[in-house]
Amino acid sequence: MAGFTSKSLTLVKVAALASSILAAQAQADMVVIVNPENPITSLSKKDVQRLFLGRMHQFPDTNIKVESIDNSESSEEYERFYATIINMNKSKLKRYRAYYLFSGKGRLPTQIENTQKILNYISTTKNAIAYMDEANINNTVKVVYPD
Amino acid sequence: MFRVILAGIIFLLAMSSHGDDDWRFSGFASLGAGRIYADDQRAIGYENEWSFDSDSVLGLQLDKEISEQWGFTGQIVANGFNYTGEELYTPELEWLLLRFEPTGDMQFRFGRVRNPLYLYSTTLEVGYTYPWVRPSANAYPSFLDPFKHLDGMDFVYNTSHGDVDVEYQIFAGRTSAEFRELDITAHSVFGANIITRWSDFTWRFNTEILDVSILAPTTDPLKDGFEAAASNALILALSPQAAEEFLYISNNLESRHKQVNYLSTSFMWEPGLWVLMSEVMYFRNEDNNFSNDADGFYISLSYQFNDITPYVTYGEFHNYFSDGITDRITATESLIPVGLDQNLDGLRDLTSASLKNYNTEQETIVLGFRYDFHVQASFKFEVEYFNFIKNTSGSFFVEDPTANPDDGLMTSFVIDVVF
Repeated sequence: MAGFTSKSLTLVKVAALASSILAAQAQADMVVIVNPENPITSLSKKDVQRLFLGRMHQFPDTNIKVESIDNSESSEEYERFYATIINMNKSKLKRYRAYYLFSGKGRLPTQIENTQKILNYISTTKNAIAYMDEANINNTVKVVYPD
Repeated sequence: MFRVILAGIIFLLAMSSHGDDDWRFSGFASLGAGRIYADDQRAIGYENEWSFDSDSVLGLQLDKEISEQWGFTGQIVANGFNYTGEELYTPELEWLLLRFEPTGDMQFRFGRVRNPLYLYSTTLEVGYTYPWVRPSANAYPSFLDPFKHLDGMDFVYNTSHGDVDVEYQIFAGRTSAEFRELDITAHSVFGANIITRWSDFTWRFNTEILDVSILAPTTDPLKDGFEAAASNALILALSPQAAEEFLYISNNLESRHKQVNYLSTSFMWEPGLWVLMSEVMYFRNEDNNFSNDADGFYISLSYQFNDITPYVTYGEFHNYFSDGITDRITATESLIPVGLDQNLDGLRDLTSASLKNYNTEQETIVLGFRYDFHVQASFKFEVEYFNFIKNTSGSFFVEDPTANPDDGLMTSFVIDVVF
């Protein structure tokens, strides 16, 4: 009986470990992409935050103006990107975006409601930047975060 | 005039916006209600029964990216409360600007822009953006309302130093507005605003210099009274010094082109689901006669439990109106004693009393919560306790000025929406 309990505990531990690895992998899967012609080769997490929160309107050390692309607000990728990379939960982000929008500062990220369309847009727009699950990217775009 | 321009612009924009993706139409609305609990007290339009106007507002905004470097923003706001005496919900132009971005890190904005007096200057009417029913009147005092926007320009430069993001803003402009039967004009406003963000911290510092004129019809008879006293034969015979003093008082009951220095700072710390924030304001007239000196602050703490965010706020406000001139009026009693001239005694008493009416001091405590029941909407409820200091009635208006209430209570709720 004691052996069985210990075995189940081990199984539980293995399952917990496996799920935490899977969860970690799921988070690591989110990448930030740009057009292959964009001279930027890598971005820090801080720069990604600045670009998507409207605190920086051009790619670092360039004079290329940024057009940031958001997936649909109801998409899983949107929520995962802002929670894990921008460190903002949905309600905080919504408050921040409203503050930004009604402050006369200009453009919010352009919303494109489909991963394939985002991929097409990035592959044809030199100054655009977007995020995506790594599983969905192809060689028409360049990953700049994580480098 | 601005309204006519606005109507024209909105019409043109609306006509040409059909099917154009570069146009962005957005808005915000609040439906609020509140009451206080004493028959002879009033505050921001609330009385001793529930009413639905003072915290209610509707705003519409139109944004257009004209080109890679040029953009336009226009915003009109219809407010359920104002200090101008205009009809409630009269649409006001709050933003009307052309934005020029020569590079991605700098913006020039021309037109009607917000004066960055506070942390939430830009979204004063957008309740959804802040935690409370309304920002604390201790750091957002009503008398600054005439200066909330400027017709002029600003320049914003965004940069970073390591992990610290900094937004520098300089601005210049003018503005005028009615405020409780006073005609207030800021002939010029110059200032700078800096917002620094690092990790969970935000810090803001603002300083500005305003050249202000206040036309106050209620003080004109007092001014004329002191002018007459200065040339009164009896007074001239008794004390030429008193006559000189009365002329000085008369001249100083007019407030034109007075220099005002304004300083404010805000601090916000957001570790995880906690938010601790505070703002301090400091308003000083260079002149100490017909003038207003004020300082105030609040500190607010909140914690987000899923969709519900309870908060507590403590604040203080101190307003010292015309202390210099009140002291000089009292000092004339040693030159022309009380009892010698009834008219003069009445004038001195009335002037001192009416200037004293502008003095307000208070401390307040707010307990409330915000419930984010929808991704674009929130419900807030709060109770605010006002402790009035030094025989004033704080930001409350009391029907009987001799009543001197010790405290006041306000309950309010609001539904805020952005779209």
